Amino acid sequence: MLNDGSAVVRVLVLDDEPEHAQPNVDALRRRKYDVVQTMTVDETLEILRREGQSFRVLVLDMLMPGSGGPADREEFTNPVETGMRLHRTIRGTLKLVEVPIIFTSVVRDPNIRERIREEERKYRNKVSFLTKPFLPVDLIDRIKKVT
Amino acid sequence: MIETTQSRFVELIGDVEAFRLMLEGALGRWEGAYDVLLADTHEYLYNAIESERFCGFCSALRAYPEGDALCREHDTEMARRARTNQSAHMLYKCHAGLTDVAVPIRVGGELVATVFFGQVLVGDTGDHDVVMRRAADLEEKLGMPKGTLTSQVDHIRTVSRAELDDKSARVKQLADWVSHLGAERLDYQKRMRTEHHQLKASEIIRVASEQLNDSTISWDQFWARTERAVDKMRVLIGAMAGMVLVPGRGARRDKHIAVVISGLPAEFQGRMYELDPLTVDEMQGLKGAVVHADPERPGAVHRSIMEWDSSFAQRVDKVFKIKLSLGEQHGVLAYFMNEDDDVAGGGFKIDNGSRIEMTMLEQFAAAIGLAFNNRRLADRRKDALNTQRVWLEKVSHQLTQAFGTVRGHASNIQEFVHELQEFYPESFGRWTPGDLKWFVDRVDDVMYSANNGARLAANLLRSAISPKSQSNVDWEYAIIGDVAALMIEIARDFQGPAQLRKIGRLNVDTDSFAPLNGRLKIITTDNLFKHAIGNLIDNAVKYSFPGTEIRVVGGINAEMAMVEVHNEGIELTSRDVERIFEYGFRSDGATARHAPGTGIGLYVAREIVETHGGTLTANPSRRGRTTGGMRHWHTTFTVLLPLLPQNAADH
Repeated sequence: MLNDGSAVVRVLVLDDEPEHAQPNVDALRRRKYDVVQTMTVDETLEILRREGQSFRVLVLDMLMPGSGGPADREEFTNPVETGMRLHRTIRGTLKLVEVPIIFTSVVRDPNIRERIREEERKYRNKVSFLTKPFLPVDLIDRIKKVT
Repeated sequence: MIETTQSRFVELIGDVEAFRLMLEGALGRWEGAYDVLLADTHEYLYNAIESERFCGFCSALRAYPEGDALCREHDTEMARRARTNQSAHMLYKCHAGLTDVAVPIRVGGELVATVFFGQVLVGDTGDHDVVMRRAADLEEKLGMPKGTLTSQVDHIRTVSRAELDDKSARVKQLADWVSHLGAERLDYQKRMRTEHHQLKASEIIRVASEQLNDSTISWDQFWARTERAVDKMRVLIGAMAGMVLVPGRGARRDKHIAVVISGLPAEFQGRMYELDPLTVDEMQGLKGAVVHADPERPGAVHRSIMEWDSSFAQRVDKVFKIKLSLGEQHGVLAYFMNEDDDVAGGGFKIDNGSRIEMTMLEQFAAAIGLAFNNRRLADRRKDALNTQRVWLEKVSHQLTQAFGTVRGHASNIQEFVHELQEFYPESFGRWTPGDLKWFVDRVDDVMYSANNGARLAANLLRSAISPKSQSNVDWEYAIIGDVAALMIEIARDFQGPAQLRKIGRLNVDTDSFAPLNGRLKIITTDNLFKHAIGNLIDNAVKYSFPGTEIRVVGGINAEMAMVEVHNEGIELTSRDVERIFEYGFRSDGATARHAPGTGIGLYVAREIVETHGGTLTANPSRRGRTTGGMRHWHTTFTVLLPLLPQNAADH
């Protein structure tokens, strides 16, 4: 079952450690998903700014190294805050309020998820979480569920 | 009439009536007055005014309050002089000109009373005329009717000097004898009091040790409790003030800081419990609380106090400083003593050089020091554990990611091979069926090993951060509609390892789980529940013998949802049945078998089950069959979880 026959679905996968994202990217591509792989927040925002509307789903690593901000401000250096900030930018600044987001993370603190969920209520609950480690099929199941 | 004032005299001499009889015996048929003025209460032991044997002159004078006050004042002054005068007795003239004798009674060097007798005229000394003149003056001064005193002068008894000396010697003999008796009693009292104080001191030390070694209290509470103990000891030893000083930090290393202060003047009440360095401003806010107290330089505390508050220091006769061992540093336990005043009112003063009392204080200081060290060690241990926890968390995250990636690749390869086998079998060209099986099996092995690694990483994390400790976490729950399917999903990861170990079967008894459908609520956050059951199956796989069966069985037991994992393998003894859930514990059987393990899987499983509000227990193994010379043991692990009411999922 290399192709499930569905229309081409465009997926963005952000992970600062591409070797960890590779199995997922492989599995998606083998299923004919159009995968755009990014490694940084800035790169992701740039692509989304340009062609954000073209993505059916965003798979974002929640813990990302900070970027594009002063090093002494927590929101730019704390990896958790980076994920939160990225989420706010996508929904707020880029106005991509409809696209489903799947956050992947090894962070097991449900309080962090709750913080994102609180914000997410404004955006029709289009966010979900997948705790690492997961198998590529788990991600594909989730993508099918949210798209 | 006998005054029964409780005083040192009454305490040491005892029967005051017997003493009066002896005193009257010593004085013979004495017609003048006598009485005993108590040193500590300044009261007369016998009320001579009401005595029939009081002379008419004195009776008339003392019937007037102002006259009585003059006489009392004079007696008190004479008693004071007798206290400082080392002679056995004093012969003197009273304010009215009559001759009196004062004989001090000392017990163990302590003045307890003064016997007064006399009110006579001595021979033909011309005193008669003097007394007559003063009597007239007193009548006028005190507004008495003329003749009240002057008419009595001629009735005052006149004695010879020899007779007076003879009576004085007798009273002195009596005083000596009584003093001797009192000294014996004093000695006995001291021994008793010392014993009593030792007992009380032991009690203070015991209570302090118990309270200060309570690991649940904060440093503030630790110092507050220390202060109470220091104060109790201060009262017991009759000290003016007590202090615990600890070495300063940073720039104030040459100074000690008073962390506990008891009994000092109000200005000295600045307390500082925290041990962090203070700023200069903060130090000034604690005026008086920072003092020089170098234990190597005796007197340093005292000098510092003197510099600070001379009015307090003037009253201090001695400072007892006891070294307080605080691990690598030394503090000081200091008591400020005043020898004259028993400030604390305990009637007990620490004696300079008394070994018993110093030992008592040394033991007290040792108890405080030991508790301090215990507490600091506990703090350091906590810090170290926290550092370890953070490190474990990072390592676990890294490992989880790495194993997750391996699993992902292995899973993709498995999928790819299966698709090729199904749709493009010709792709394998010259591969023999054996080659293909070998390849598929090895990919499976990669998957199992990665699963195992990921499980270990997750156990590491959860042993470092117990889910039970995350009370503030808002767990995500799910009610399971098909519990058997969930169990099969969990067990699937272990089929491969079970086959590799030649275990006959890993079987989920699906029917037995039917009653739990819709009645089992599990935590889905981080797959916690799956992880717990997975650890139990993993444990069963590791310790089962080849050819045996592992069974996962469900059911309802005592209104609880039950999941059991049965296996047949090494023995779990009744001795180890609880210990296997301890962090890092591995049974002798497990170690002897050299099975790989860290001793945290069962610990984590129990933590997770308890987070669900359930219990996880094991039963001691039952003896089974013997195969190939190996005794088989049946072991069961039982999970009990709260059971939801019927049709809970519908609500």
